[in-house]
Amino acid sequence: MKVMALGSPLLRRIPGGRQALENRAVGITSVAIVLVIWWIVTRLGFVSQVLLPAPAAITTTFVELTKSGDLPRHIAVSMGRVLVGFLIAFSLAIPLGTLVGVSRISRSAIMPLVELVRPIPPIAVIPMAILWLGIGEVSKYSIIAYGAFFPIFLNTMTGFAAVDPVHVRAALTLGASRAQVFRYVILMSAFPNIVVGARLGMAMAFIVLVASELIAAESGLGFLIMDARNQFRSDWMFVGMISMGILGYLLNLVLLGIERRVLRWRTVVHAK
Amino acid sequence: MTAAAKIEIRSVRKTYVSGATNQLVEALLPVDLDIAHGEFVCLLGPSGCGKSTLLNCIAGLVTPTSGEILVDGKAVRAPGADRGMVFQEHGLFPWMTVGDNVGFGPLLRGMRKDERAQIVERYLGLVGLSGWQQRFPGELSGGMKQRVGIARALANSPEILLLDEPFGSLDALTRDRMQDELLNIWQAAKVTCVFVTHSIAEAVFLADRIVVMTARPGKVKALICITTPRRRDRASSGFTDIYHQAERLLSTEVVE
Repeated sequence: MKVMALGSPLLRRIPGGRQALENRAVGITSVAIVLVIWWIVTRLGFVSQVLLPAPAAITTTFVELTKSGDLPRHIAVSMGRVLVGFLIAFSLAIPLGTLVGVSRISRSAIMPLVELVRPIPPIAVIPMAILWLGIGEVSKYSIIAYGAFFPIFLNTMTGFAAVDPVHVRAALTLGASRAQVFRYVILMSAFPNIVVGARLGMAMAFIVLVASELIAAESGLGFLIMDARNQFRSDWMFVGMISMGILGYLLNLVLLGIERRVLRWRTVVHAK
Repeated sequence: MTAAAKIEIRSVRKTYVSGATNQLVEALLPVDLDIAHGEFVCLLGPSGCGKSTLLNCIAGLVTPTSGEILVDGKAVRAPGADRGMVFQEHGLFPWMTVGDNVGFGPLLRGMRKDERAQIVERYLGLVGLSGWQQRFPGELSGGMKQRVGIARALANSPEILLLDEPFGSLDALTRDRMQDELLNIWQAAKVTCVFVTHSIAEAVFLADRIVVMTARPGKVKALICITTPRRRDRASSGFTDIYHQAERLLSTEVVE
């Protein structure tokens, strides 16, 4: 996961009025076109219903699984795991990222280690997690936390390392103590990156979720998909996948909204 | 060398260890200078002559290698609210509203919110930006940002205002207008101003006294006292005479 450039999506101006409507219309149309092609392909029998169920069949299964309470249960379990894993990552990455961002010595000490561990994908960590932590929830949380840690850590570090010296000097000449410089200037300068890191960390936690649920899970969206494979129920599989897509989309939307709100000053445009 | 000097600069010298070559670089040869209370002094010199270094020494942001600076007879050891500073890159906090930027000094001193609001209003009014409290710096033009920077420094009621090429990045028209406004503010707030610039015209327009500095390593080459009463006419013969005098002094100092 790369460190993202300082909140680049934020720099885009929130499109107002007509443009927003236009963007949305185009977006909905493209989704609709994919659905129509999908429907035609299955309707004309180009592919077997087992390989690619028709949109209508998936919708029916979706409603069934929702009514039976299975899908809501899987979603709740999965979201719980994402949340716990994310919180573990967050509470480790923020202090560590702060330390490494502020102190050059700790940066020299910790960064080589981070650079060595970072390329190891979460899936590769699973066997070790099982060996050390068993096949229960703890190892699932750990794997999610492992995945979510790096974006938060690296962005936090970048934020603290990228404080504009002129802001520090300005605060000092206004009479700020060292503690006040940290609280009002350094922390606030790092804040945008911390928020971006948290959003990327959450996205990562969501991506790693399925990997973590490969371990002897009895519920969760990852389990639903794996179970569907074993039962040869491709419609369940698609319901699981589509649920993840929609959930991830909504989650990102919420986090982007929070980001825009707390970083309102970055979206304002130059007055003419 | 009267006891009444607001700022006394005593043999201030600064050497750096260059990060690239690991060699000692002389930034400032011993500088001696007294600045009177309420005086407007311009430090004028080519780029890299150490004039900003001298200003930062007065601010307490840079410690001289030797020598000392006295403000009201007391040695400068650290930055303090008595010496406000305005930066070329304005240095406004982009995450704070204009009002919060101006009220930041008072906030650090623990002033109550309603008192702060009054101060913010007064100083934003002084720089002609009443009603801009709720905006963010990102919404302001370059000239407006500089005015907020000046208001922020003044809101601390400093006795000394240090300005580091504050109008360097502004277009010529805005720059002239800002110089006019700065003189108004200087007269209204009765502060001692030390203004760093490499623009001869700016120095001649603003200063009671111009300190012409040599190219690196910097030292004081000449002092030009200007007694012409203010609002100086930039087209008058008196103005251009002083301009050419300063230009001759500087022309031998341009480093290639």
